[in-house]
Amino acid sequence: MPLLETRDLTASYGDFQALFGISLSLDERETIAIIGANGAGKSTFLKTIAGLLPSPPEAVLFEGEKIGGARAFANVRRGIVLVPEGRRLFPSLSVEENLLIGGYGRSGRWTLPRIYELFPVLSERRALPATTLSGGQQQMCAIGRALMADPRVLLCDEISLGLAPIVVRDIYAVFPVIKAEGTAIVVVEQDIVQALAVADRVYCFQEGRMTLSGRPTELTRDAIHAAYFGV
Amino acid sequence: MTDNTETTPRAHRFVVEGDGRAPRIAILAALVVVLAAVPAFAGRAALQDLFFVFTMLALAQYWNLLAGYAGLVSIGQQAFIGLGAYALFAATLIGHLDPLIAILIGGGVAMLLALPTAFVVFRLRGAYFAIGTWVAAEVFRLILAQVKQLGGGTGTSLGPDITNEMAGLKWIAATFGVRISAARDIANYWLALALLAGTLALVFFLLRSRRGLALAAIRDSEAAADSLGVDGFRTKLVVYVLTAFGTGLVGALIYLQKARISPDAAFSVLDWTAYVVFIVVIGGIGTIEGPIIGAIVLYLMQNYLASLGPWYLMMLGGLAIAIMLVSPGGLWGFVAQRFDLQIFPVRRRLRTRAD
Amino acid sequence: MTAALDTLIQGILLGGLYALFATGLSLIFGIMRLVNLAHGDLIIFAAFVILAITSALGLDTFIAFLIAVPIMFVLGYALQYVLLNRTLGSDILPPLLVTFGLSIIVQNGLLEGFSADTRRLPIGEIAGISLPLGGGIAVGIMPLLSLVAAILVVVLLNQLFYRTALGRAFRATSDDSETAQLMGIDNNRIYATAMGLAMAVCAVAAFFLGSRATFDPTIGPARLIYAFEAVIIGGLGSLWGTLAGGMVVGIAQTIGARINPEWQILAGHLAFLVVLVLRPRGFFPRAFD
Repeated sequence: MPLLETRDLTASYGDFQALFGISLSLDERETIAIIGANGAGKSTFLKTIAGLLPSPPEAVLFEGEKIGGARAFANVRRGIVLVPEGRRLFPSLSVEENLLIGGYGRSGRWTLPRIYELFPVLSERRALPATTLSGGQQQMCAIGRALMADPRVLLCDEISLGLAPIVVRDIYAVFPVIKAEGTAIVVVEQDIVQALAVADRVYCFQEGRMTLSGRPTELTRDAIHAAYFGV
Repeated sequence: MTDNTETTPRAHRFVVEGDGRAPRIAILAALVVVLAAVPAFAGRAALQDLFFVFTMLALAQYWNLLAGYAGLVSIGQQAFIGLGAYALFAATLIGHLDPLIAILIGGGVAMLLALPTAFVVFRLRGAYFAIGTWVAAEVFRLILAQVKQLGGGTGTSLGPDITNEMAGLKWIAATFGVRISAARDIANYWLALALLAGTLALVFFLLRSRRGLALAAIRDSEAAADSLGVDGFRTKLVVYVLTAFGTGLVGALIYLQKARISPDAAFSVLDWTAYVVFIVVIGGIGTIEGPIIGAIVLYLMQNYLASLGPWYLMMLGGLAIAIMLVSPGGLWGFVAQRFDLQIFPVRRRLRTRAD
Repeated sequence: MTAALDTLIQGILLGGLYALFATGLSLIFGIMRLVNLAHGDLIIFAAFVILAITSALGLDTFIAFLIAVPIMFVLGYALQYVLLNRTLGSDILPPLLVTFGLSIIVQNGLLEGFSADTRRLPIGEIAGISLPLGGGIAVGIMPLLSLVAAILVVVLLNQLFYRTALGRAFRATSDDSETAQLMGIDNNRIYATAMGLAMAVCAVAAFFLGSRATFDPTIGPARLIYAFEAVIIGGLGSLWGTLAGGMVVGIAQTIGARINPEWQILAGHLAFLVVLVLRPRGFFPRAFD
């Protein structure tokens, strides 16, 4: 049984339909990447799984249980944790407090010392307001914050956005440690190279529909190009 | 066999137009004429009841204009009732002017004082703006309570030497064959009807005008409106001041009718804000028709239930809460949505016309 | 000179009471941007709760107050969870109109249940005790205690906000309620807890109000206005600011009363208006709002 599964998932913003029946599954310990252009529906997809957007109960299954439409905080308790697009750290909280709040609804194997071990730069700035961090450091803080909830499924929304390539590499460098904990990961990425490097399976979205799926090694550049741009 | 299908799309013109329907307005004008004739066959009690409905409805239209259209939720409109009323008393008692002129002065004074009031309260937003307007009203109340010439804290009255000398009363008394006191009721009734008609006309044409469109834009999104060059501050100020003028006129008339004033009464939150808010909320905020329904509902409730005292007010409060949660558009909003009705057409539609 | 000092001290003590009125309001606005127009009426409601407990159970007023605090917490929690949470959102009308309706209901409910008679919370001889400070100035012990209580409440609330997980949750929810959900925070419960806290503070305010002055069902709105003025003068988002704001209102009113007793309240309003014109954001506004 897959850990997480979506069946014919649709999503709309008012009159605008963003997703047209996405069906995919995620197994334990698996990492999948979703690529696609802006507006393809990738973030919408993650938000719907996380519970920030509504969906019918049977459209999202976690360990076989129907969780579509469940509120986001309830999903966190289950271990479905989203690193939101744009980091969205809390300005009123320090770096350490941002990490601590990650463990509010659920906590487990990831403790504060372990997060600092993973991202030493956060430890140096632990008492400062989170907004004083650089973009890359904020992203590390956001990921650390999500890890504090001991996720079974970690959803990462565009973590490379606005960051220099070397910073992106540093961030993805910790993924093996996260994977070693047995966490399943869904990565939404515009950086195709990074997505192909980290994922076991890759899906491509285009205008709310899945246009390609497969293992990184199986996919050709032309196939990805065609699926990405819809030509 | 010829193929009738078109192979090229027709060009379309996009036109934005109001909902027209001038004939409906004619019907409403006729209604006004009918209402004007009521004193010919109605007794004083009925005239006084209608006076209450007309004046409360006018106040509700002004509050609705502020809150429902301009997004300025004020719980301090009693300031302008009180100011208008006290201006009337001052103009007649001290200035020895005819009450008719004094009513206009009431509106003028309220409008003038709305400017410094706005200067202060516009610094606040949302709920804090609301309470700020209340504080402003309290300030006016407390200051006027110090004015001994107008009765200070206990208030004062208008004697018959003033109320019975209003222009036109003798003519009414002669024409209808009634005493001066009854003539007063008829005159005040007509004034209330005139004020209401004027209010409805003002609100209607304001909303259909470009400024009305600006208001709708500001209400929906001030930031977006701003980026299009709509001056939110100026538009809101104009609406605030105009509303103060109208409210002041009505306040002056109401207290001319009562002929007795006190600071607590003229600046009462319950009488001039709570009831007005209930009318608008229960009837339907953001529409012209809503307050009409609400005023009738309030009148009926007041008539039959006011004897219940505190229970009556609790019911009103509970009803307002229920409406806000269940049908925020009020009674009219519920009906209008189901049947797509509009008696006062102020919406604009985007229509396409084929060339 | 002594008269001026005495006026200042009395003003500060009165300010302590006003700060107690204002703290709950400030708390709620800081966390959920809600202004509860029934706030003043709920303080009076709490005073009547204390009164009812003393007469029904024959208890000492202070004990009744201690019992009233958790009762008000639970009522506040329920009020928010069942009713007020439904009004939260981007539209400002629903919370305003619903709390306005609530204000009318509470006032008239109290009128119906307790009549319009003025009441007082009996606290025995302690009401009359005053501490001499020298130079002919004396401070009543209850006013002094209300100032102490106001300071204590602010200290405790700040401890809660900055040293506990719940406090972190409050601040996070206030910053970004959507992302707070991603932390496993249930917004509805957080808001309800905040309102419960605010109502508990209202119980404290009620105890000090009712024991030093008379009260009746209709005086709620005036308390709301003083509370509101204190919050605006102090600056949105800062509890110490609210305390300072209470002082300003208290001092202004006391000065006004010294000039002419009829000018007391007007003086407070005028001070508020002056601050609003000169420093619209108050004296200690939070950096980001």
